[in-house]
Amino acid sequence: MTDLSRKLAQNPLPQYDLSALQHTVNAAKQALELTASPQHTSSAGQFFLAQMRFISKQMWALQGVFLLCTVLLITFFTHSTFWAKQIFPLLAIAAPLLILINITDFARFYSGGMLEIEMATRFSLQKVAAAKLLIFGCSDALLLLILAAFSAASTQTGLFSTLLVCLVPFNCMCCGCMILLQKCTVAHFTNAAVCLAAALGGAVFLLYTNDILIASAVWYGAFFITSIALYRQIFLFFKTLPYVIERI
Amino acid sequence: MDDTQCLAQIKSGDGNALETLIKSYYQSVFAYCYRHTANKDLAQDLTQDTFLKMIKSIDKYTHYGTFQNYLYVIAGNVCKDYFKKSKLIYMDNLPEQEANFIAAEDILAVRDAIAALPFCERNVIVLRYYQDCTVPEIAKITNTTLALAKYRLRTATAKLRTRLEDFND
Repeated sequence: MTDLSRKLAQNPLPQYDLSALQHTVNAAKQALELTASPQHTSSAGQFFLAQMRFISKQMWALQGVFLLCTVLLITFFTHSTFWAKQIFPLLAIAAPLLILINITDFARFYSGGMLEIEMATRFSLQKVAAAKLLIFGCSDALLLLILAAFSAASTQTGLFSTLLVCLVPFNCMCCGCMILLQKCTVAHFTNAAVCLAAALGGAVFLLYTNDILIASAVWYGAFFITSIALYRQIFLFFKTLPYVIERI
Repeated sequence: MDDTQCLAQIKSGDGNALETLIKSYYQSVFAYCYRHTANKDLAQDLTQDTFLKMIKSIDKYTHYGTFQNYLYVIAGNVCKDYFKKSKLIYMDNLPEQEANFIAAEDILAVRDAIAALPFCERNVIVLRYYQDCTVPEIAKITNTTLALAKYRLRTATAKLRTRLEDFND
C-alpha cells in the first residue's frame, strides 16, 4: 500500500442507516411501478428508433464513407475503357463488404452488449435481433440500390441486371453470417466473417478476371436460390436464438 | 441470482428482484457518494436519487463493463448535479471512537484535501482509491479516454500528496 493510499484509508466510512436503505427500496419499487405502467410502453416506431440509437455512429459514418468511395471509383472507372470492365466486380465485392461493416456492430450480440440492450428496453432478444437485422438490411439495401442505380446510369445497363450482380453476393454473405452466428464462438465470429467476405470477394474477382461468362439467366437462378437459402437461414437463426442466448 | 437475471426480472416489473439489486449495491453507491460529500445523510439521499434515476433511465442503459460501473456513472452525475446546485457541504462530525485528537486531525486533513479537488479529479481519486476501480474502468465511467483518466489521476494524486505533506509539515 502506498503512503497516499494509507493516508486516504484513514478516512473512515460510516455505516449507513438501515431505515435509509428500506426507504430507498420502497421509493424504487414505487418508481418501478410507474415506469412499468402501460402509459410508458413504446410504439413500434419508437422501438425501432430506440434500436437505431444503439447502433454506433461509427458504423453509419463508415457506411457513408464506403458509399462515397465506391461512387467515386465507379465515376473513375467509367472514364477508362480498361477499368470500365471492373465496375461489375466492384459492385459484387461491395455487397459483402457492406455487410462486413455491419458485422462489427452486430457482433456485440455475442459480447453481451445486445443482451444488455434487451434487458434495458424491456423487449425480447428475438425482437431486438430482428429489429437490428431489419435496420441493417434496409440500410444495406438502400446503399446497394444507390450504387446499382449509379452504375446502371454510368454503364447504360438495366437497373435490375445491375442490382442482381450486387444481390447474389449480398445474399451469399448474409447466409454465411447467419450460419456463423449459429455455429461460431464469440472470439471467432468477426474473424470468420472477414474470411468469408474475403473468400466471396476473391471468388467474384476470379470469375471476372478469367472472363468466365455469366449469362443473365444464371444470375436470376443464383438470386432465386440464394434468396431461398437466406430465408431458410433467417428462420434457423431465430429458431436457434434461445440456445445462442444460453451460450452468451 | 446474477445481475443479468436480476435486471431481466426488474424489467418485467419484479419488485423483489429490484430489492435484491438495491441491497447488493447500496453499500458501494453509498460509499461512493459519501467519499464525494463526507456527509452521511447527504450521501444516503444521493444514493436514493441514484437508484431512482437508474430505474427512470433504464431504457437508456449503456453497458460499462459491470452493473456497478453503470451505477457509478449515475451516482457521479447525481453528485455533480448536487454540487452545481449547492456549493456548501456540511461535513459529518467525526465518530466518538475517533476522538483521539491527532487521528481526528488527520482524517479532517484527508477530507479537506479531497474536498478541495475539482469534481473530475475528486471522482478519479474516489473511484481509484476508495472504490478500487482500474484506470480503464475509470475512463469508461467518466466517459473519457484512457490517457485523460491517467492524467487526471496523476494530477489529482500529486495535488493530494502536496496538500497532505503540507499538513504534516
